[in-house]
Amino acid sequence: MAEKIWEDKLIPTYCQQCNAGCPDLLKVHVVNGVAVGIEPNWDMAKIHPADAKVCVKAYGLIQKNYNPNRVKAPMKRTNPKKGKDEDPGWVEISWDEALNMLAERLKKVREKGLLDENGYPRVAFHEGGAGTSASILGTFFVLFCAKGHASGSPQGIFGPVDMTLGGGKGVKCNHTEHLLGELWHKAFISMSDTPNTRYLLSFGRNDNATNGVVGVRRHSEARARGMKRVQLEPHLSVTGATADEWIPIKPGTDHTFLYAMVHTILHELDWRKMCDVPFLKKMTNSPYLVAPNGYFLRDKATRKPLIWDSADNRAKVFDAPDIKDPAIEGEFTVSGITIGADDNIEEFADIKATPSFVLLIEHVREFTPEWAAKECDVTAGTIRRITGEFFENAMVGATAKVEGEELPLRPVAITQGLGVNCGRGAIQALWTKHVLEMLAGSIEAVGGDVGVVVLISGPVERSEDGFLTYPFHPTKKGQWKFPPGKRDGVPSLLPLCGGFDGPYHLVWRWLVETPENWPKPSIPEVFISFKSNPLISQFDTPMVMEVLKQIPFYATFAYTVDETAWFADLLLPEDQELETLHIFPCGATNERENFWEYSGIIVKQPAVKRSFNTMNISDIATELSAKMGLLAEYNEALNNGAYLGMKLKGTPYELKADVKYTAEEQYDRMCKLVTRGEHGLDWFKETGGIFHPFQKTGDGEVHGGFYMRPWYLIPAMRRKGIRFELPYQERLKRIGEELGARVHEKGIYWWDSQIEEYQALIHWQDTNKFLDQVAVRLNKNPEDYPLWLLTTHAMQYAWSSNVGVPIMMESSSRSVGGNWAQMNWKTAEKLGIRDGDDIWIESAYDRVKGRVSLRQGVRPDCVVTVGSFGQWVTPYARDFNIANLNHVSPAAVELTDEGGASKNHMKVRVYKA
Amino acid sequence: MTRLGMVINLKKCVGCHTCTVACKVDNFVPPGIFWNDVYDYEVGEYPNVTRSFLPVPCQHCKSPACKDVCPTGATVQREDGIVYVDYDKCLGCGYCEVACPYRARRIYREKTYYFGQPTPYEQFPAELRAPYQRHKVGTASKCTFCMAKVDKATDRSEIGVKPDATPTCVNSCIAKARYFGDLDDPQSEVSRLIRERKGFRLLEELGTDPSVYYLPR
Repeated sequence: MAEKIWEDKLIPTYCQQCNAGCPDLLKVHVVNGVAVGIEPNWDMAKIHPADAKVCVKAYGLIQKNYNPNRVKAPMKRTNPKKGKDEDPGWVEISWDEALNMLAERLKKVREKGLLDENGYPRVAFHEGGAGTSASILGTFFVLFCAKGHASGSPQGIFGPVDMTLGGGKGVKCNHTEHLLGELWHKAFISMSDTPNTRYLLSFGRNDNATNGVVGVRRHSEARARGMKRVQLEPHLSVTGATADEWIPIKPGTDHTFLYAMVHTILHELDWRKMCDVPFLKKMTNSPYLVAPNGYFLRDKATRKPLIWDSADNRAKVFDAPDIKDPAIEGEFTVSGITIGADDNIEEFADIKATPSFVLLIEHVREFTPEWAAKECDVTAGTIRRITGEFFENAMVGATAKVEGEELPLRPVAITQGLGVNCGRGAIQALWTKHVLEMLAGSIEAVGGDVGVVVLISGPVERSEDGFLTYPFHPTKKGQWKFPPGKRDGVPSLLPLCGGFDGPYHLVWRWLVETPENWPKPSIPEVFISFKSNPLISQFDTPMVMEVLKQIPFYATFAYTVDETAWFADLLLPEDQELETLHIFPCGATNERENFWEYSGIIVKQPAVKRSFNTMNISDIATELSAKMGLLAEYNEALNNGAYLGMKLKGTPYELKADVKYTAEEQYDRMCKLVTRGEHGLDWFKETGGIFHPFQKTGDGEVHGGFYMRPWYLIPAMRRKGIRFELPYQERLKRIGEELGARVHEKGIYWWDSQIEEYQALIHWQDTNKFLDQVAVRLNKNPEDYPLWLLTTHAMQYAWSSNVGVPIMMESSSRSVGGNWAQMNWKTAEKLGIRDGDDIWIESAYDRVKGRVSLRQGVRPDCVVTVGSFGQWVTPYARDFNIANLNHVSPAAVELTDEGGASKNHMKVRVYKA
Repeated sequence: MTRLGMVINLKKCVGCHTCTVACKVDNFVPPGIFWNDVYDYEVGEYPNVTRSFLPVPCQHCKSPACKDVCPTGATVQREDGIVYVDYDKCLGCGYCEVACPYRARRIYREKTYYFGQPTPYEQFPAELRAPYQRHKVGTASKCTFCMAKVDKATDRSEIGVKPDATPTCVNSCIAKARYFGDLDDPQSEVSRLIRERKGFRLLEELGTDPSVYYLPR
């Protein structure tokens, strides 16, 4: 008998497999209980900046949901031995048994004490890959990582846990930009204001693969409108393909190119005419006077930095209301004090002081295009032309009205990909980028470089010196934290990472190999991880494996068994996207190039029934807290807003201490809270969510527990009298001196090259030498590794756990190079390698095998790999034969920058397998 | 008359394959077959290389080479220009696969599943799908301009405008590179774009008279 349709519905939900959506709003087409289609949620087309279109990954959700390789029920390990070749001997168990097992372990830790004898938390928790938001973790978040939320709670209800062990998130994810971007303009990620940009200089930013639907749309429209994009990158990416010009720059020399650009504008072009001089005077620290010792010269009484007012011919404090014409050139006789390291005060009487801008000009005198050309493999003429084009397009003096506010229109921007803005060379590349944008006045201007996401520094506040506030880890004598209390040493070594929990790559190495005079970190007794596969995504696969073997108890929320889960004691399969329930703060300026005119709360709801014996992660959290005897604390934390800032306390929706609320009940109350009782969860399920307008030029808003910055920062900065802390980095200089003193007091000298990067005017350095240093330390000859190993991304895989989903590989392998390692034809020919051969990629550290694809659009001295493959356990993906850089790239101090990041670069040699 | 056609703006396409996957998911297209492929290719020699994306759905030609060679009449051309395969008449001889200059057709040769075993989605009953989504081993397989959707339009003006009456590749394109509508209507968006943006067609010299136009990069 023919089947009949007894159900045909479209269920609104969203996809948040990665952080490039905001998220993607979609509807699942369900017929007779089966998901048969995915489509944009057209009801949201007016709210979403790209008509509610959804990413390719979302169309893979049906396969992801019905994947027969999923972990179908909780499993426990029966083989006590852990190793790559040790079959875990998985045995299916009930949820009750599984959560009892975990609760017992955690309770034991609580009885013993949350911190071990070295002050390190006994429990380590990894909240997931880059961009895994609180919402994906559901209320599990409240147990272990409430930090950073409006609740003000310093940690989850469990108490201190170590969040430093994890995957490649953090250290290899635009990390240095996250820190310096937030320091300089609240830009966890720095973006072009694409709809208004005329000229975009992109150093390897792969927008077409990683920038989400809104980013792709904004750039597509801009191309059609005539925006010029110049893409500098060693291989021609999908983004380079759509650029107007591709410049195949040599790896690791992007900062060199940028220094030469700064030189060109300040020493060869007429900067007084071409730069935004009024902006330099009013909105930057260019006029701040610098004493001979390199610190700002300050007024003795108020301690405020001084500026020379050319109109009145005398020095005034920087925020004096009567400043008429701040000088950015010249030398002036001034008296005052400086505040150096550890608050060391020096007094100066009638000394010659210059504005910091003068020092900037001197600083870049030596970086000529001819000098840079030799380093970057780009002609001096090209560097000059690009510099000219950048400033010619800046439209200095133009304005645009946004929401009635007159803002500078400076439609030029520079963006950088994570091969540039992360790891050695990143601080140099980021500083010069921001200096160029400062000179053009395009930082936070309409059409310029605007930020998105604030995760470290919070709302717009003014520091004493008139800059944006930033939460550095303290470095002053008596305030410096040592021992660090976290296994990665961040509070002691990485002052820029205040308010940022990691994870970091060095923690894995230090767990087996402690550096000199460093408090030995202990292996955590319990490790819990979520949506991450560190053996694939973290540097140094051999090292991560060594540590995993030693962890006594490891529980992971597993989608399929994967490489890292292979070492687990307990697999907890949680519901997947099409079957789970979450709510999420959506819109505003949340992630990647997501600039929304609305912000709101949306719901992810079960479109289909569970396929397997999985559980909603919020229900897991509730059960686990009850089993640990922490139910009252858990409900209290929820009442206090530990989850997405939803404060239920004192409202009709307050939770009772001793009741186990289901995820449905928890979210229903939160929905009612945000709509003041008007709508419950059922209404959200029907509509998909609720939105309100978001102001582009406002002060931003705290939404879902996170601070959402406005589209443009300048209006809020003007209102609060804040300047950009550019070009001069007095704070970094001071912190560097303090940190140097602190670590040397402890006999630590292996961090000196990182500390040297804290400078007032960032020095150029040959960052490639660090790779050679690693080879030498490993008793190898650097000259034996002539090629660069780099990584790139495919949209199908960027950030999401998608390697087990066949339709993603089927489509992404249609791209040039497939997902194979990619080399230039000519180089391969010389090495006797043919298209489709298996090759060995060998660094001074290790070697890895995979298939190669030959291309023209790759520099002859490069090998490009697509991230992140190299699986040997994950079903389906284990048969790919794709090489992974992480297998040959060690977690090394030499390769780590002042922010704790390391680059996806390695020097290698290649030969036929 | 109505002649349905598509415009693809090559300046906007990013080669993301969202259309490729959305089309496959929506139409239950089996593994290894693409109704809507996007070619990603390089031209030139390093360092003078360009990389380009070219989405190539069935071109729904006015003079379709595939139809001419079909021995059984399985290839049908509708009045609105849509060319589709009647699986019940197709023998799978493959003449059309060879004849099509756009490589828009594939013979569905063997029943396979993405995970080796069928998922509930792949088991979704054929009789509940649109006829062209009832893939049959041993027949030719190709894009239909999502004709079940197009046929939902109650008015010609809805085609390419209302998502319900628009092909999935157009609906799903994140770069907004695709447009769909009536080529015979000079007021339609597709006609306007072709006129104003110098739309061109692939292999026009073959006389196939395709209904898919491209806007230059």
